[in-house]
Amino acid sequence: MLLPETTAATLLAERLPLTAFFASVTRDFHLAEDVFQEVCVKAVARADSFETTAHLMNWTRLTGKNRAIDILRARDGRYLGLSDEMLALLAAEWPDESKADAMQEALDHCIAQITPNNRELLRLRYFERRDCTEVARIMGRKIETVYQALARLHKTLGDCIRARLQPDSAS
Amino acid sequence: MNDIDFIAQAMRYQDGVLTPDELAVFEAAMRDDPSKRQLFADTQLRSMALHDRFRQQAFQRVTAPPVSIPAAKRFTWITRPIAAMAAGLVIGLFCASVAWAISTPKMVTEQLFSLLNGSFSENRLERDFPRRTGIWSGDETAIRDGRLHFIAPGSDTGDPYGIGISCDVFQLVDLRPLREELSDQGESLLELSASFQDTRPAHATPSVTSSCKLFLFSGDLAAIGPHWPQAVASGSAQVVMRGMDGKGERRLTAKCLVPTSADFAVIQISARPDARPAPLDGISADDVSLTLKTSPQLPIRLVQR
Repeated sequence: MLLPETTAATLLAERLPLTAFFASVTRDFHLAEDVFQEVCVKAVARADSFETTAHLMNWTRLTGKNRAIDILRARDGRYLGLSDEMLALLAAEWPDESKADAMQEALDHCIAQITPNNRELLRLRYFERRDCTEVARIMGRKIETVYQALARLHKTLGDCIRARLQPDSAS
Repeated sequence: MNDIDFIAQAMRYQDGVLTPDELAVFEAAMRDDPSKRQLFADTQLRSMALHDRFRQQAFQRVTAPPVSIPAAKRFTWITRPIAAMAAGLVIGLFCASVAWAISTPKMVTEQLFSLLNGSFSENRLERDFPRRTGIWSGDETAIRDGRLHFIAPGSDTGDPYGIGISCDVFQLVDLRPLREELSDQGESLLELSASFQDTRPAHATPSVTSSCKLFLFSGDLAAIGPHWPQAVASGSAQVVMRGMDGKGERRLTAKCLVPTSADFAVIQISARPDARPAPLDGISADDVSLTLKTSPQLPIRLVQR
């Protein structure tokens, strides 16, 4: 049985991976954060029903996923995303906070290595929450070019982060 | 599908532009290959981390405290205390080492802010990007029967992003009267809501992406020229509409936390046909409101150690 404090602390530590998972359903970072907070409130209120942190995490992913789908159905009349089966498969293998923490630190280093143009691409996408159609319009590029550029940038950042996290990597 | 193509498809999935057939192929790629599932999870995690990082940078830039606060007492800002504000729980975003601080909950206060003609009861519209507060202005639109009807996409000289693929109307809002309230230690959140309607027959094509956006800036209104300064905060919400589908109006809400240095806001209401050229017959907006929510003291928050 978990205490409310333990429940809250566990969920807070897992905030990034959990919101990233919920964003797989909502396709909207802010909505994913709303779902995360809503689920946190529910989890803290019923903390004594969780036997272990693994139990808590399973319940949180499932509850958050269902809540996200409910919100989208209420708003849009339908849910047009990944199937339940696929979301369950992803949930079972989803990264945890240990990976997220290390990645965030490495990301700071890696993002400093990219060009100002690419930083602007990321800012438009992840701060201003522009979809690629809008990013293309703003940057005067073709939409397909933006998708490819963003994908390459993600791959570059992913490779840089992995290299950075190697035990023998240079600081 | 190589990794680059797969990540590009993940981006399209995030943008909601995959067709049902493309979504099935995307999902099949993950079902058949654990490394693709891992790549999708890593991409999602990195995307969320990037979103956090840019937001954190923006807030660090504008919320530097004027006096030194002991580290143990410094609380962390959350930029999305939406649902939790009502429930009284705030979760800090930016610190790895955290402790709980618990205090007495108080009510969240709400106040409607001065967005003029949000219900489109007055037939006042101007063309091109607005140069003053309190007026809707932008692309070709019309007010009929108390609704704003989108007519055609256009470009606005004052909107550096306006290259004519969407029909946008803007309103500038002076936030400086808020300063006194924002100087308190409470979290203040600005919510922009708008209702959109698509009266075309069900399953109409092309789909139209309707959105409301909120950008907050520091400095002088005159700074909004051909090149916008960097926003100190932003929020957006959008929905893809395909005619009447039994849902009727869609109410969207864009939200963002208000830094104390925010001087003015640009409100943007848009309709973008997802294929061109396309008329925007049947697409309209109404009941646009801007609400400031302040929660002076939240019961659970995080403090940095």
